[in-house]
Amino acid sequence: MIALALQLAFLLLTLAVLLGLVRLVRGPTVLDRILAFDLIATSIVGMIALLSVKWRTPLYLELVLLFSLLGFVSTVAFVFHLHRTLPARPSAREEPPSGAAPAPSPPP
Amino acid sequence: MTELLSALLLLTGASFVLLAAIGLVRLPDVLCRSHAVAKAGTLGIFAILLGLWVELGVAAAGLKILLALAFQVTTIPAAAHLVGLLAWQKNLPRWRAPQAPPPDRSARTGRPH
Amino acid sequence: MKALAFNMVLATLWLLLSPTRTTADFFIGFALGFAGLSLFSAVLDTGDYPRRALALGRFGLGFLREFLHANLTVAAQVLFRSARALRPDFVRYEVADLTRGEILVLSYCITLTPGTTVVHIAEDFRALTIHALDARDPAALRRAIDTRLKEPLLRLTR
Repeated sequence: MIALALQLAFLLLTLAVLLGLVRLVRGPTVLDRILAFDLIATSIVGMIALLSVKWRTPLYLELVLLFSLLGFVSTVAFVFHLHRTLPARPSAREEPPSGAAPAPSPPP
Repeated sequence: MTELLSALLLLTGASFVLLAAIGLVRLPDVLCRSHAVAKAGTLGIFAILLGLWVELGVAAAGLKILLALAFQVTTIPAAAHLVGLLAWQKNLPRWRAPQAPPPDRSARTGRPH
Repeated sequence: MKALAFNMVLATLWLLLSPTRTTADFFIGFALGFAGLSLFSAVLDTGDYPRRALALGRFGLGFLREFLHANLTVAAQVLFRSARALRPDFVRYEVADLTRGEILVLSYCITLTPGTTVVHIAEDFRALTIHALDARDPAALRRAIDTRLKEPLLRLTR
């Protein structure tokens, strides 16, 4: 019962990591990539928790804490770095609606 | 009983993390994607860690898992908020809905959206 | 705050006097102490501690419901609807009359409730900028936040 559920959950989380990688490759802006990275870190934390269930040991809890800390701190570091270096787009807040064209070209 | 509950929680959590990933791929711009990651990601990891807690038992895992749970649940929305804040400050390109919604859709569903 | 500490002390006392010492015993002691404190609140000068505890419970339950609803909304949007159904835009929400701690809790809750994310808090703590997935009716959005989140929160903190 629980072995089946574990395998299914592993499959779902692997799919999540793959989709996150798709966004990481395609993402038009840096922020998309940061979000994708954050989600991948979350799924890895979930996988560690699943391993901990599989082998019935509480020893991996430190690993869960460590990975969640790592994911959050790296997101914060990226955001603070980009806060200083990413150039703001100059156009005003009220840009004219751009019709049906989705996702304009990314900033360089 | 415990096993069933734990299996259910783990599956729910994993499917919500997958949902966040699908949202990350399908939604049109950074701010909308941060919605999916903040909500579904938080619920997903919450359910997975809860399932771990149920499976291991309160005595073995105890407070450490509560610490991990609280940390994850506070930091995922904070990270999504930071990304949204940066997108807002730098005025990144936003996806705009097409001006006139297709009339056949609203006529078929009978609702304004 | 003092009443909460008193309740903790009562729970610990119960733990020391009970034959088994488990986590469940602590919570039983906490519940008994809470019952005692709310029965004798007039004598013990615990103020509005029971009322606040009830408000905390109600706020927590309401928030949990909103959180689950938000996830179902995200699921429906992501799985079944195309992006054309979205009308994402920014909405301004006034928080001039709240303290900073209340703004912190409120913005956390807004981020986890359906269709809204806080993107910016004004430097003078007077307004939040909210990104909404469906911003066709900003007034209704503000009213929903008022009734579902802000009022239970204020009942808890004031």
